[in-house]
This record gives sequence, structure tokens and C-alpha cells, in this order.
Amino acid sequence: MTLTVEAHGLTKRYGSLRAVNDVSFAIPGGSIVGLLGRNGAGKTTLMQLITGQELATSGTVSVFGENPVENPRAMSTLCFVKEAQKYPEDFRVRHVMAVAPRFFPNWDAAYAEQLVDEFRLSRKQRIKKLSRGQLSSVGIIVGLASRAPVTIFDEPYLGLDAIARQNFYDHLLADYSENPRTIILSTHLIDEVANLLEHAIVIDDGRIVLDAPVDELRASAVTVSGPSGAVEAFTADREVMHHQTLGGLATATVAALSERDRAAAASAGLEVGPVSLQQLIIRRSGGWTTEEESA
Amino acid sequence: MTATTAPTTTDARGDAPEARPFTTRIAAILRLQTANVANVLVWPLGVLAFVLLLNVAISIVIEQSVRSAADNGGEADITITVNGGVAFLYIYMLIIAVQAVNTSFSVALGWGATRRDFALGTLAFFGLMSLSYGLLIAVMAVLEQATNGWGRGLRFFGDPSLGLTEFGPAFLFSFLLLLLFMSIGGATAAVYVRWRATGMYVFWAAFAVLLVGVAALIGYTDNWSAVGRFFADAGVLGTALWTLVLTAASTLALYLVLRWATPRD
Repeated sequence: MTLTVEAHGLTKRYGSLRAVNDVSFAIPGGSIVGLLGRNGAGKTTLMQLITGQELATSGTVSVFGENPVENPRAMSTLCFVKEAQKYPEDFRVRHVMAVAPRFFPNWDAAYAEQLVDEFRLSRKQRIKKLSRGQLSSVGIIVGLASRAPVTIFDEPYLGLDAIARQNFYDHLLADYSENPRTIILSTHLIDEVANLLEHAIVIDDGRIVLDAPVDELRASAVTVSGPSGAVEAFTADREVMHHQTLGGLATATVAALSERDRAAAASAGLEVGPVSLQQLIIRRSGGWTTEEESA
Repeated sequence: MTATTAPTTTDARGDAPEARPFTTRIAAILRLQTANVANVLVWPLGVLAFVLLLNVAISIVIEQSVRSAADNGGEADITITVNGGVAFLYIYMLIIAVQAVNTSFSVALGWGATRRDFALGTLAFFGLMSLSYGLLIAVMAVLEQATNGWGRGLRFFGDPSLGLTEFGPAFLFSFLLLLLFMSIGGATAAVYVRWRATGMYVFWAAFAVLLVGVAALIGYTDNWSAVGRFFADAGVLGTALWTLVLTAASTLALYLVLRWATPRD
């Protein structure tokens, strides 16, 4: 399988701050990758490095095997949807839709028009007057319709309501299956995008703390729930990643169970269920939390 | 609203596609810079037409009041002939140039343009604008001459005292000046894009020091008359041609400063 984005020992320092610190990873072509981490963890800097916006202090990053910095060939495969993109003075929605096709060889104009309607944007609206959510919609439309071989969304949903977010996720998945490409999605709403992601890269304090396929992560742990006593007895000699009690009921997160363990759990009156990706990532990356997670 | 480049069959999972031709990439930047027709065409032309009409109207009002004053035995010979109304275009284009660099840089790079392509495309935009508006001013100067100052002896586009009533000189003068204003605006904005507020403080401080320093040097060496002679000898068009030195320096500065700038928003 071809690797679309690769990094080796990638480091970006701002003075004494190491925003991205000795990072190495390889993203296979045709996958949806979640770039997860807390605010200030280095997500945006990493995406700026991948898209040739920022220059690495040391180490290398490559897109389709080439350094993207000032490289028209590698750059023309990229679309970077920034968190709060500014557009030229007095631009309206229609200006964005008229100019963007010139930058993206694979641009689908009909699809873009359809999305403008679905996200309820008016073509005449001035970008400056758009709400935060509407501005996010413009970025999402450009990102989806660009059909760029490497499309990168940095917190693309800010200000969007639940319906618009779901609309985005649905479109992303549907369009991705019709036009496979590499999509990197930075987010801290992990559970919302859990079903989209094929691969998760978790970055904290400039370092990658987790880099694994989502299926593998999911298969690595389960929750066991039932009466507190039974749960405690069952998990006595196991490593418990997370434990929660509510009244007489308890839920424990433990490593994946064998068939025999499952049978034992069932006979003890316990229920074995899947673990939430968000919980799992928090555990696996050492208790990383943000305000969204408590919700 | 159709894609002008035929969709290339890019296998998203394969190797990087062939680079798009240089001209296609530059054309994309030009399209970005000219997308808002209101800003690059409608507003400047509208304001120009409005100011011109207003000037004609004012000259009529003045003439009437002068005439009625004379009829009443008063003494009045106010005539306004030369009027630099077109000068607003130079400032307008400077602002357009600032915006072209400041607000478009981040979008262009997010959309996969290189800094080099952005800088070259933006400079091409400056050239295109200066050429178009230079031609407009020259044609209007010729018309102005032919209509004897719009029938009112007004000089809005071509100042006869500067020898700018004919097409050639009028075009050369306005083209070079527009180019100068746009490249200075673009270069200043590039400093801002790369170094933000800090860059602006340092830039303007250095600029002020340089101005005062040069003035002090000229004064100290008692050379003001030589400076005056230089401009007198060069003449209007000669001086305009000399601005090419500043234009070239600004253009080079814009290119070099943007070359390794990082979009911050």
C-alpha cells in the first residue's frame, strides 16, 4: 500500500517550546485518520507541517514521497481546511465557489453547489458576516468538493449545530467511499467521529502517544457491567482501566476477553459490551482529558 | 461556475499526480485576486466617474457665481483648471495591494499553492491592474484634451503643466506610479504577513530612521539644491522612470519576505 503522508523525527520548535517533538508516523493512502489531542497539544502545528505551511526545525515530512514545502506537485494534492480561515476582503460565498475550482484539479462543482444548499448558505452572503458555524460550513464544502488526494480538516465543525455536524459526517463518509482519498481530521469530539475513523493518532505535548487502527483499539478492551459484587469478583485478577459504580451497579473497562472469559462473565450475570473510543483513547494515552469529555 | 481545468484522474491512493503547469497555477492566483469584481473594477470606476461629474458640476457652479458677481460689478476671476482627482486611484490601488497580500496568502496556501506561485501571481496581478488603469487614465487624458477639459477647461486626468496630456506620457506616468504604489503596498503587507505586529513596528521605525537620516545627510552636506536639480533635470517622466528603482526593490522585498512566511490565520 502506498503511504501518502509520512514523518520521521519531525520537530517544530518555537523558541524553547517544542510544539511538535520528534514525531514519526506513516499514514496509508485511502484512509480516514483522526488526529486527536488536547488544545495546544500540537495538532495544528503538525497539520501545518504536513501541508507545507510551516517549516520543520528538524526531521522530515513527506506527501506522496515528496517534501511538500514549496513543491507544486505535492502541494497540488493537498487541501487544508483551517479552523478559522480568513478569506479575501469582501469575499462572498459565491466568490469562494468560483475561485476554489482553479486550485483543485478534482473539484466537483455540482457537488459543491449541492452542499451550499444543504448547509443552507446563501451564495450572496459576505464571508465576514457569516456566523462561526456558517464559516465552518464554507470550509467543509471546500474540503469535500476539492476531492484533494490529501484533505485535512482542522476542527472543522466549530460552531456547527448537531444536525449540520451529522450532515458533515454523513457526507464525508459517503463521498469518501465513492472517491477514496486520505482524510485527516483533527478533533476532540472523539465519540462523534468514532464511526468514521479508521486510524487514530493521538498527540499530546508535541509527542505521539498513540498511533493505531481504530479496529485494533476497539478490540483491545471491553466493558463488563453488572452488580458491583459480581463485577469486582470478575475483575479481581485483571487490570482495570476504568471503574465506575452507580448504586449497586458497576462498570469496569478491562482488556479484551477470551471466549472462555466471556462465558464466565455471562454465567456470573455480567454484561460484556464495547468500550467507547473516547474512553479508550483517554486511558491508552495516559489520562488525557478535555472539557468536552466530561459532557 | 465551472471548473476550467479538466478533472484529472488522480488515484487518491497512488503516487502524486503530475505538477500542474506553471501558467495554470499563476492563473489560479490571478483568479483569486480578481474574483471580487466590485473591489477591483466597480468601486474604483464608480468613484472616479462620481468625482469627475462632481468636479464638472462644481466648475459650473463656480462659473455661474463668478458671472453673477461680474454682472453686479464685482471683481472675480476664479478659475480652477488643474485638479488631481485621479490621484485617489493610486491610494486605492495601494490598499488593494495590501489586501491582496494580507488576506489572500493564507487561503492560497491552504488551497495548495506554493509561496512562490502566490508571490508571482500577486505580482502579475499588480502588473495587470497597473496596466489596465494606466491605459484608462491615458485614454481619459486624451479625451480630456480633445474635449477641452470636458468642455469646462478641467484637467482631471492629464495635467498639462506636467506634460501629461498625450497618450504616451500619460500612460507611462500613471502606469509607473500605479506599479510603485502597488508594490510598496504589497511589500509592506508581506512584512506584516510574515512578522505580524512586531514586523510593523520594526519596519516603520526603520523607515522613519531612514527618512530622517537621509534628510539629515542631505542637509548636513548642504545638498538640497542638488536634489532639487536632480528632479528638475530628470523631469516628470524621468522621475517616474526613476521610481522603477523603488518598485523593483519593493517587488524583490515582497518576493523574498513571502518566500518563507507562514500563514497565521
